[in-house]
Amino acid sequence: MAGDALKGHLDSLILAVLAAGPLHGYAAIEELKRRSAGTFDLPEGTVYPALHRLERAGLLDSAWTQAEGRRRRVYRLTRAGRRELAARRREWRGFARAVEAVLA
Amino acid sequence: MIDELGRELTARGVDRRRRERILDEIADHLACDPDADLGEPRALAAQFADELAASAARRAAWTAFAALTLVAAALLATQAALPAVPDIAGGRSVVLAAVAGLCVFAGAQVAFVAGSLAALRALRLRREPALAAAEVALLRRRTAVALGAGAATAAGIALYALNFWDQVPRWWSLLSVVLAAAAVAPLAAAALAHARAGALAVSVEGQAGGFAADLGPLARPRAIGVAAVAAMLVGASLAERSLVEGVERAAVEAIAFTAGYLALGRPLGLSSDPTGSPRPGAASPSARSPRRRPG
Repeated sequence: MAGDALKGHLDSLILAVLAAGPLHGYAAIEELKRRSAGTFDLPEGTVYPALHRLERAGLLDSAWTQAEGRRRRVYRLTRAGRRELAARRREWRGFARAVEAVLA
Repeated sequence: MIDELGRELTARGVDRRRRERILDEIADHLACDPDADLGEPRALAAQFADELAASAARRAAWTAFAALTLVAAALLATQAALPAVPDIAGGRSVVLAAVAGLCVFAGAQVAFVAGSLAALRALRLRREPALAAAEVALLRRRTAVALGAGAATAAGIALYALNFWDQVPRWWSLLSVVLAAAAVAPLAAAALAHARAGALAVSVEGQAGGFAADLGPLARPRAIGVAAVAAMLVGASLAERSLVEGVERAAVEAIAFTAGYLALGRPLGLSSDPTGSPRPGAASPSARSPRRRPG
């Protein structure tokens, strides 16, 4: 998928990936690739600014853990993040239905 | 990658704590996948700095607005509690009285206008991950002017009380000085947030939206000025039960508005782009994609 097209939806995709449970950055990116069957293969660095931005917006929170002697930042959805994800899902489904109705 | 990213983040003004967190996260990522495509360190650092700068500038604008509401509350409380307006010649110094009056009269209005415009712009752009450097600069200028004017207002309140210390009840003077001093703490906190936001370098190109981006069709400075003068004329005439008093105060308001507009219209983004239409080569707010300057 073109990077620009994905950019507008990156925040929603990250929220959706983290809805299943807490993940660190690398795991979130891998999950994003896995769920999209490799379609969403963007420069991985761009996901970290998005994670920080979502945390500043109060949609995620994060904490350090230890993994193999390294510090690892693990992100989880906040209650506000779950509400935002639900709203974005509704918005997307409405949009997708409308596009499908036109294209079909 | 890590060293270069660290240098780029430092060069763009990202603070140490945030920088260390980013570097630890990227190091963990590379430990999981040494061949990971994390992009160019310079571009990644620019994205972090741009988004942090936008967020910090918005936060500073909102913090300043909140601090100014406390200054406004202090001003209203002291004005409402003043038993009688003292004779201007009865204080310690007429000059001091004039300075205090000017600080309160002009400072409060400038703080209200600049603080409201900063908060409005921050609110309008709250969903933008990154802002053009010109937009961040405009937000910061508005915040700085609002904070300076707010500080002048607080100083004016205290100066007024000190000047007329023997002419007004002691409790009122003490109340004024205490409220003015209490307003300084939130102003200082907002100034700190403003200074922190200024440390970040923004690489997104584009221009700031015009005055119309704040108020839409109401963005007509002359019409606003006329309305302010008319409001002063009617309000002062009714309050003082004197048309002459109303006319005098309206004339002062007209002079103050004109002087304020001439001095601050351009820095506050009021006198450029009155139609709000994009200037040649300028990106519209919605189309302001993060085009970053190299380096």
